[in-house]
Amino acid sequence: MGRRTGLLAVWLLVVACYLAPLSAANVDPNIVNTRVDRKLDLATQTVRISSTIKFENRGSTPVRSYLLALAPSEAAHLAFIGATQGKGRSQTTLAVEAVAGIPGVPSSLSLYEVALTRPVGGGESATLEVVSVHTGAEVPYPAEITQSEEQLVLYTGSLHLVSPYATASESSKVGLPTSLVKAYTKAEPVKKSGTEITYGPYSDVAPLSVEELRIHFENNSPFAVADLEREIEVSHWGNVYVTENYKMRNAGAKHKGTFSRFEYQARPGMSGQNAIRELLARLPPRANSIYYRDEIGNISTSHVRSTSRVTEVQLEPRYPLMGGWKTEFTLGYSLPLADFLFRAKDGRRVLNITFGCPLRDVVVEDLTVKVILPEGSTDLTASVPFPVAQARDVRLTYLDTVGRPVLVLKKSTAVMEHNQHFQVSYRFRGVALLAEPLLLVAFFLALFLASMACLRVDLTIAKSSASYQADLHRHKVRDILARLAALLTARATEADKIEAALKELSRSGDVGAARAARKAVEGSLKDSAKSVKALQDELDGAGDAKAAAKAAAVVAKEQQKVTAQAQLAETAVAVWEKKLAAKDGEQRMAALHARIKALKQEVRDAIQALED
Amino acid sequence: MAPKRAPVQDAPPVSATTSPLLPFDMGALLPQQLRLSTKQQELLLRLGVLAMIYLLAFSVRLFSVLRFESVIHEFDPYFNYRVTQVLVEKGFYEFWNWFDHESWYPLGRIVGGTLYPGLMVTAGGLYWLLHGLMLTVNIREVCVLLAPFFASNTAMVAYFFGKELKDSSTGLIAAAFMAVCPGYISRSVAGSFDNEGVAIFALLLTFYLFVKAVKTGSLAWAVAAAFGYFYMVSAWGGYIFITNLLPIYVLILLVSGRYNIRTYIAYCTWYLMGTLLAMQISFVGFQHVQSGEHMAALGVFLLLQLVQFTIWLRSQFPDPKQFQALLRLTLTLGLGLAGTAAVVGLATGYISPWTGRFYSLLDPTYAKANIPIIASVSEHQPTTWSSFFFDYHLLMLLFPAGMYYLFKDLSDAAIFILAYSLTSLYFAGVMVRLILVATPAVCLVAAVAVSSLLKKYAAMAWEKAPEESGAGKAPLSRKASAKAEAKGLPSQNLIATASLAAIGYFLIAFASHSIWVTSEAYSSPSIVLAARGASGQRIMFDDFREAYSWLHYNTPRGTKVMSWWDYGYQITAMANRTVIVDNNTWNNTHIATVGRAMASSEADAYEIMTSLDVDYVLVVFGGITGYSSDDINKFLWMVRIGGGVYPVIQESDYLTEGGEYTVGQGAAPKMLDSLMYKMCYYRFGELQTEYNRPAGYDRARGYEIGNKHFDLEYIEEAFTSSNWIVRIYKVKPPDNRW
Repeated sequence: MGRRTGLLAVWLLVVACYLAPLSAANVDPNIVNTRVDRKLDLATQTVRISSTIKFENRGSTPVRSYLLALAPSEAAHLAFIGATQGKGRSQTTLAVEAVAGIPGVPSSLSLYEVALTRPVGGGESATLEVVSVHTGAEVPYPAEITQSEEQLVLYTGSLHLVSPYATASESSKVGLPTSLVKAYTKAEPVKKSGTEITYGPYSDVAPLSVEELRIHFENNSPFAVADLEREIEVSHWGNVYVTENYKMRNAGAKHKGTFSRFEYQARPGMSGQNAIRELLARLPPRANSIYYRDEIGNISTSHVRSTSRVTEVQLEPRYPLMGGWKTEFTLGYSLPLADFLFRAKDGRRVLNITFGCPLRDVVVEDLTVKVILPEGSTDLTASVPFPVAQARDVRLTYLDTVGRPVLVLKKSTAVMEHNQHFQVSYRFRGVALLAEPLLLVAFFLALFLASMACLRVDLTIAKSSASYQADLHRHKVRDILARLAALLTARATEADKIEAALKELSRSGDVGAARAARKAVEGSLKDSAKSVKALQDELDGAGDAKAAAKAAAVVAKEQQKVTAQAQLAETAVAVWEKKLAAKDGEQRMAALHARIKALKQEVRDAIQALED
Repeated sequence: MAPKRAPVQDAPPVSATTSPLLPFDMGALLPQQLRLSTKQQELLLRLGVLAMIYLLAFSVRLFSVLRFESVIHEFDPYFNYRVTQVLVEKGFYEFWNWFDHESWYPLGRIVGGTLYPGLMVTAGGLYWLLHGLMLTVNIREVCVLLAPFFASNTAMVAYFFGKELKDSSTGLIAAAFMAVCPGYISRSVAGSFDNEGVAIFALLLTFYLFVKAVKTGSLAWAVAAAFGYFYMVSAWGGYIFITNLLPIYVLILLVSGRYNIRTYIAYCTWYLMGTLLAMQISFVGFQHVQSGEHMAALGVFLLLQLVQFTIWLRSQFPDPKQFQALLRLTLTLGLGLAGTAAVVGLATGYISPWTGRFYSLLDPTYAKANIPIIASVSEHQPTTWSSFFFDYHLLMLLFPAGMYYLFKDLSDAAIFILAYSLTSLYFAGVMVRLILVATPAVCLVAAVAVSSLLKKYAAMAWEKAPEESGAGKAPLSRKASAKAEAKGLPSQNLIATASLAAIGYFLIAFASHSIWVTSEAYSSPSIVLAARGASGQRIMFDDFREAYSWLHYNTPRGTKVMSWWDYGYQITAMANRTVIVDNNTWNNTHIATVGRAMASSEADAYEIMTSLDVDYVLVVFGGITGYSSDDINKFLWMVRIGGGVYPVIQESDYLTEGGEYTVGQGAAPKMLDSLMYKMCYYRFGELQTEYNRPAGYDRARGYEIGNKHFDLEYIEEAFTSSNWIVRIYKVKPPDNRW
């Protein structure tokens, strides 16, 4: 017997230890909800319930946490739950955590524990704002409608705020999109006026009282549900590229029968009322390079409006999405890096960007956010304000060598409330930025080097073959001719200096200088004549008679020209020194000028011919 | 004195390598080293011009991307794109053995064996190459930009061909013409991912290599020509043009006495290797040695053996009489044998006769009389003069001049280009799409004209250029003037300059015409229609993609869609749905069945549609937008093609008593009762399309329709695009009828 009790005690202890971190609090019987005001917003496909709870601590020990409960019908569709305290500036967001296994609470109810900012002492009271968002709580009923029918939905929820505490007074207001209500739970006191149904006030609601609330009403707002894959690619060259792949469907009442474009166009208000006709994306300011396309190309029906606070993109799907119809598309845009990337004090880079879907009134069932960081980033950590599944991946794309690290974050059922900023911090060295340009530079360098090498390497196999030898010979002759041509051109320039000196002479009358210049030129011409001779010999040695003759002709012509130029100089000097009658000299010089001109042209042409 | 000497000393040294003049002045040596010789300058200029032509040929074709988007155009390119996707995703063997069960339902299509894989393999190869270099481009971009890329390459081949024909300046002009000629641009803008894009490159390359082979008699060139031919065969059915032109060319050489051993080497090597290679393409296979269209090449091959044998014999017989006797014997025997072989081959069916397509090429009236399906395609219509001018512009005028210059200086290459241009121009006259094949020839011939003219006038104009100084005294180079025969023309320089200016003006006019044509006429993807709104703004009709997208996402995979064959490729590629017939048009009966269904009454059509398991029917209708190439305007062809197989369909039943084709008042009852009419005009009668017009006014045809109010019994409207261009109907299941 003693052994058995001992065992039981140990077992209880183990269970207690196990449960301890989960159940930080028991239901405190001293807490009483003095006043609860609920607002149920049923205007769109998502149900937003905001409750203002005023509670009082009637005990003596201070209370640090408050427990919230959700009925099964609510919990099944819960997308988001959050609590705040205070109003306006002093409003603070409180941590909300799911807890389980609290004694006295049926396990069918889901419990959430709200950690209060400041303990509520005995006798004190506090006010909490709790917001919960539910998706799929409005079920199309009937499930299929024709094009001309309106969409009716059935909402199933909880009439009361399910609370583990007793509630003194409670009232609920239900906001509807239209005044057409087929049926609703009549739990007196209840009042319907226009698009609003008011339940309560109910007094002294017992703890954990669950009562079903059903409303069957018209809701033509589009039930846009999507699977979304967002890719956020960071480029340290100055951009954040965002690509969003949507798989969208209209989750409203299914379209039945024919789709008549005539009806749809002629009676827009009465036809296809639950269709998704357009979507509105709210992108960060300074978003640019926006594109909207699908697998088969650009979708031209979109408009962009941008202000300094937001960039709004109005998207029209290719066709109106009637109930049950699907489509897929991609929305992409580019954001300036400076707005989203920051540098922490320890040198880490921090990317701070929104998590959720930028489209308004779209429920994302499966949200994948991939953050693609530049190659060379290390030490990635992400901080997201709500629980997500994390994974790592590597992407190899343009000019990558080791690939870019990818952080994959997954979240199911994301609504507008999840459109919060999250942070990814990583280490990145600026030098890594140069890797890709350097790679390109190296590639082109290698390409040029290779082509240089190719041009210079002789890959002929049969080096003794006649054609190869002939080719070699031809190259040799061509080379000699080219050198000869260069040399002759140089000589021509040199010889022209004689004429320049003569011009100078006619200006200054300095005969001595002219003589000296002529002498210098003639000396250098004599020197280069030797080189000419050497080249001609080389040409003879090469055994190309035709080329040699051609060269000889040019050289002879050139010699004539030089001689004529010398004669010109001589005549001019003679005239200056009065050895010759001015008139005779003029005449002779004119003739020589003409001759030199003609010769020059001929020599130039001949040199050109040599080169070719 | 000293300062005056200085300039003499400091004058820049002139010699380059051997510098005995002033060997000490090293610092001034560098600019001399960098100074290019005339030849180098010319080379640099030429390379620069070629590089610019390369860029121009590419960028002028990007209008479609700039105006619209980077998207595949038209009809056939969608099939090529779809196949390329399969190639890239699943690899070559999957592609080669692909049985496509999504087209020609319920027959299917053996894709690998019924296509020319050159285009897809080229695109796939480029894709893999780029990915190998870590440039992870999308396959769509590769496909879209493939045609411009190949157009640039074609321009380069045109350069080499022009160089072969005359000189490198002709080559440059030919390349420039090739780059911008609208006749080629029409089929090679960005997005037109079609066989012709690479085929024209392959065609011109093969011709160039063959001409080179004939000129040099080198085996290497001949083998290269065979490989060029292989590429062409793998890329386009138009290879048959090469197969027949080369033998014709060789025959011309033979007749004109220009035949020699080099021709023999070039032709035999090309034929043997080319045939073996071509047979590797499974779509061609044994056709290459069995079908009538290929027989000319075989015949000339055999003839060449005979000729060469005769030449050899003559060298063996010293007595010409003996030789004559033997020659007669061999000739009779050889021709007799060949004739018998041909007759036996034809009789046993081993050699297939010419196909209808081939006949319709030779005889412009053949298709209209015998094969309505060929005649129904707009690009198979005979070419009008205006489209010749539209596509060739200046080249049309330069062409005869070029021919004159080519005849004046006849070479083997010139004979080839003459044979090529004359035959291809004939075919271009028969079928408008074959303007494309004639374009390279026209460009080359026109380039010869321009370059000859420019050279002549430039030489004349240049003579004037006097020496830079000492004006007046210098005599003109008399020799050159005499050569130019300008005795009676004192103002020849002026005339030459004016002529140069005129040629320049015409060339500029040609370039601007080409650019204009490209941007206005040839850059529309035709899946997106653009129109001008009342206030001048651009309106896009994106209905095709709207409807295909709807089919893609809102019908189950494997849904069978019936439409006229024009839209088959697009439906399979963009909507991923099974079609009954598509643009491959290989089975006339199947197409006729669809034509019959469209032409029948709803009840009769229902029988046909259920027998074909049709789930949806798609029609294209332009009554609201004024889009004139819609199904109502094609309907008569459906009737004709359907009637060609099923005599129950009579064309006259669909015309008014006056033999008029109309869907308005007084339309034939069968017309108004046909499935096509009903699908196009369902509920159209209630719609007012234009202000001041009655409801049911058809804007494409410009009159009120004949029957406005009717109901559909066997089908129901499933989707209509926003401008009503595409209408999709669901075939009701049998149990849904009451």
